[in-house]
Parts: sequence; structure tokens; C-alpha cells
Amino acid sequence: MTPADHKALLFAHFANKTTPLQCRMIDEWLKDEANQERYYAWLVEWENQLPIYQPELETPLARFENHMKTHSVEGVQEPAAEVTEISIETASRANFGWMAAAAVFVLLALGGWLNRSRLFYQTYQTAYGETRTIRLTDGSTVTLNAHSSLRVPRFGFGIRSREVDLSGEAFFAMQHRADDQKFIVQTPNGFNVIVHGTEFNVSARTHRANVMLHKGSIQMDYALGNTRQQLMLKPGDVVTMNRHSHPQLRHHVWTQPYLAWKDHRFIFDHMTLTDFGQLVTDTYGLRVEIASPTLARRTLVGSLQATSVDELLQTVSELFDLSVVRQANSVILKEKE
Amino acid sequence: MQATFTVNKSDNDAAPPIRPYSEQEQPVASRYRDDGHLPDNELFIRRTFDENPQAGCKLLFQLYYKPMCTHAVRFVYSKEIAEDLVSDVFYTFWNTQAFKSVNRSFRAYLFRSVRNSAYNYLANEFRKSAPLDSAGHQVVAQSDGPESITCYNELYGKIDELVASLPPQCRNAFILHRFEGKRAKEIASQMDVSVRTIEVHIAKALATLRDGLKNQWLIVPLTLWLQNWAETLL
Repeated sequence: MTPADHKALLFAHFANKTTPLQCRMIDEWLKDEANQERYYAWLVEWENQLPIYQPELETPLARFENHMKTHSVEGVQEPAAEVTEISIETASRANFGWMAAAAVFVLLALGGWLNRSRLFYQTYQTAYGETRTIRLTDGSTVTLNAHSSLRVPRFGFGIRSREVDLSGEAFFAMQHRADDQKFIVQTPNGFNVIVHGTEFNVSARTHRANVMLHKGSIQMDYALGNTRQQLMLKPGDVVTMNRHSHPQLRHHVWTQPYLAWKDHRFIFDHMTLTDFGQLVTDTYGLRVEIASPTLARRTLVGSLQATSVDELLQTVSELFDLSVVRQANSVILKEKE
Repeated sequence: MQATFTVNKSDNDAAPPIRPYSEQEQPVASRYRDDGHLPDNELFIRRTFDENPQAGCKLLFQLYYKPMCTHAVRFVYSKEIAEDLVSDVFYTFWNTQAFKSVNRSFRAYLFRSVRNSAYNYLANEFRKSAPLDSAGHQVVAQSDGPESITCYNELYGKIDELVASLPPQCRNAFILHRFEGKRAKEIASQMDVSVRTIEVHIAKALATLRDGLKNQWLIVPLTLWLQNWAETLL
């Protein structure tokens, strides 16, 4: 057979048009290594003559060149000075790439760690003067009073437990669960409220912390010295927490003053002006100064509706016949001269 | 013109001690020259590799990327997969500096590699049991026996046969999906049938291939495995 005959046979073979006997002949022929070289050379020729489709070359070539640049291989001999220069540049670029990748990774990890609270918890916040109602995934609703925040786990809430963190003040209307799954409100004031399907108000302000049970039953868990104490609440009970003393439990309390804020109402049941000042501070973020101790001891009785701090201060000042000096972030209440 | 290359080899005293092509290479190349119809353009490339491997790889890519793709597609029946496999072969070729140890033609090396990758790809896709040890990573056989060279042709011949045996609409849907990379939704609107029908067609075609190829997986890997095993012994 001439080389041309072999070529014709091979081309037929590539097209799978050879008989088993011809295949056997090719197998024999391929035992010569030189013929194997010929085989591949003809295969390339055949593929080039009868391509099944036209692959696009430019993009993959550019990608390959880029790969070679960024993955410069150690020990590649490059005698020409010009080429050596390029290889140093590409090597440092590759190192830079790795360093950049490592830096990005470290930053991401650090960011993830620092932001883990944001990653794992959804935080609802209200500004001064703002109230907001949130519906949690378990069907419970939480109304946040002004300048308060509620932190709810993003993952697993309502699956094994229901635990939220509250700072500020909120009214909770819990969805009772058939499996009696507990709902726990944790506060930074050293007490937690364990809920058994109920409506209640928790206030966890810096200077004022209390829990008012409206409906159902809740359990309070607080620290006394080094021990934890539990307290069961019945509807109408109010527990006031003071930083260094026992919690004070009062029964059959008029609950409306504790809930009025939800409707932008204020109910004052013998509230001292000092406490009113604290209320304004907690709700609107204004520092309140009361000009004289005598004035600070005066108490407020009554209810009023106010949607803004100005409205509230105006009404109160009219009631007490006070003059209100409003500055950027502070208010001075004094008796009219 | 070709004579200059042989001169280049002998008179280059300052050349690096290890040259990619060995003494044995010359007779092969000269035999091609004698044939008259096979100009061995790889000699250009070998010279380029001596000076700048990156430029050499680029030349090989320009020369063989397309035929390697059109060859690989005969096995995997998908442009996208074929192109990925070919690119992978080149990336590995560069990363492992395989060009330094190729003692026959680059062409043979690259085509053997891509056939191997295509084979492993198919074996992974269509073989039900776990692949043999060789299938996990890319096996680049330095030399494979004459048996397996023709086995590869038989393998893609078998695949063509199986695809040809599919009912026309099923075959059409399969080719549009697999070869052209079209989504079932597009094909459905093109052929004016439901997406579900197209999905059934594709599933049927794949099942036909899996079933038709189930006896193929023993032939090639066994010879390859034996070669690898023999190479590790040497």
C-alpha cells in the first residue's frame, strides 16, 4: 500500500466506514510508532477538512494566554533578556493576585466576624419619636416604642426556640404555640421574660425597666446577687425593676398607661415631672432639664395624645403653666415668671 | 526550507542542555519529509519552545484548538463540553510543563490527551458505577497501544450509531439540546411541542446512550490502566 492508500484508508476509518478486517489492518499498521505519528497528523488533517462545526478561537486563546501569564511556571527557561523581564513582571503580578485574594479573604472573614450580629440577627430599630409594629415569622406581633431595638435570629427562629433581644420598650402580642414553645424576651437590664402565650409590655430603658402583663401568663427571670430568681405574673401585674433593689411587684394595676404609647397616647397616673423628663428623653432623645427641685416633684395626672415631642411639651407646659426653652438637643422646663 | 531546522539543531552550541526534542525525533521528521505530503510544521513550534514556551503554547493552541474541539465533540456531543475539555488539556499542558517531556509530536500528545479526557468524561457521565481509579483525574497517556487508538474511533462511531438510531424527533431534540446547548424551553417552541415532551426526548436519548455504551467502558480503561501500571513499574 502506498502512503496515499493508507491515508485514504485512515480517512475512511475516521469516518467509521471501515470493516472489521480493515480495522485489523490499521491496528497492525499502527504498531509502527512512526505510523502512530502519521495517524495523528492525518487525524488533524481530516478534522480540518471536515469539521463538524467551527469553534471560535479568539476568546479561548485569549483566556489561555492570560492563564499562562498569571500562572507562570517555575523553572521555565527564558534566555532572551526581554522575555525574562516579562516573566518577572508576570510572576509578581501572579503573587500580587494571590496576595490580593488572600487579603480579600481575610477582610471578608474579619467582616463576617465583626458583622456576625448582622449576619445571624435581624435588628428592628425605631428612631426617636417613631413607633413601629413588626410581625415575626411565628405570627407574633411586636410594637416597638420610640428609640428601641429588637433583635431576632434570622435562622431557626420558631424552630427550636423563640428568643429575642429587646432594648427600649415594646408591646408583645404572642402567638401561642400548640407545643407550648416558649418565647423569651432578653433585656440588657439583667432580666428576661419567659412567655407562655400572652400580651405584655416590656420596658427596658436605661433608667426605667418594667414589665406589665396584659393577658395570659409570663414568667420573669432576673438576677438577684449571684442567683437567678423567677417570678410568675398574672394579668394586671406590673413588675418594676430597679438596678440595685428587688423587683417591685404590684397587682391589679391600671394597665392603660403602659400601653397608651402604642396609640401615641400618654397617660399620666401621678407621674412626677422628673419621670416625665425621662420619658421624653427615652422617647424623643431630648435631654430634659427641670429648673427647680420643687418643680421636679410635681406630678402629672391625665391623658393626652401627641404625635410629636413639640405637641407633647406644649400640652404639658400649658397644663403646668410652664415655659419651655427648646434648644437643639435639650429642653429646659421652668416655671413661668 | 526544512533543511535549516536540522542545521539549527547541530550548530547551536549555546543551547540549553535539555532540548525538548531528542535524537530519535529526527528520523521520524525526515520520514515525513520523504512522504512529501506531510510538512511537519511542529518543527517551527519546537524551535519556538526553546526560546519562549509561552509563545510555543500559543502556536500549538492556534494550530490544534479547533481540530481538537471538533474531534472531542464526536465523543461528548456537546460544543461546550468539548471546548472545555480542550482548554483543560492546554491548561494542564502549561501547568505541568508537559511540553518539556513530550518526546514525540505535540500533536500526538495533545490528541491523545483530549481523547482521554473525552473518554473519561463520558465514562463519568454514562457509567453507572464509580469510575476506575484513572477516571478521577486526567490521565495523559504518554503512549497508548495501537489497540486503544482504534478503540477511540470505535467509541465515537458507536455513539454516532446510537444517536442515529433515535427516532427523528427525539434525535433532533437531543442534538439541539446537547450539541447546540439550547434550553428545553427554546427547543419546545421551535419544534412546537411541550417542554415536557422535549425533556422526555432528552432523557430517552441519554438512557439510550447509557444503555448502548455500557459495554464500552471496559475496553479502553483496561488497556490504559495496564499502561499506567506498566509505567509506574518502569
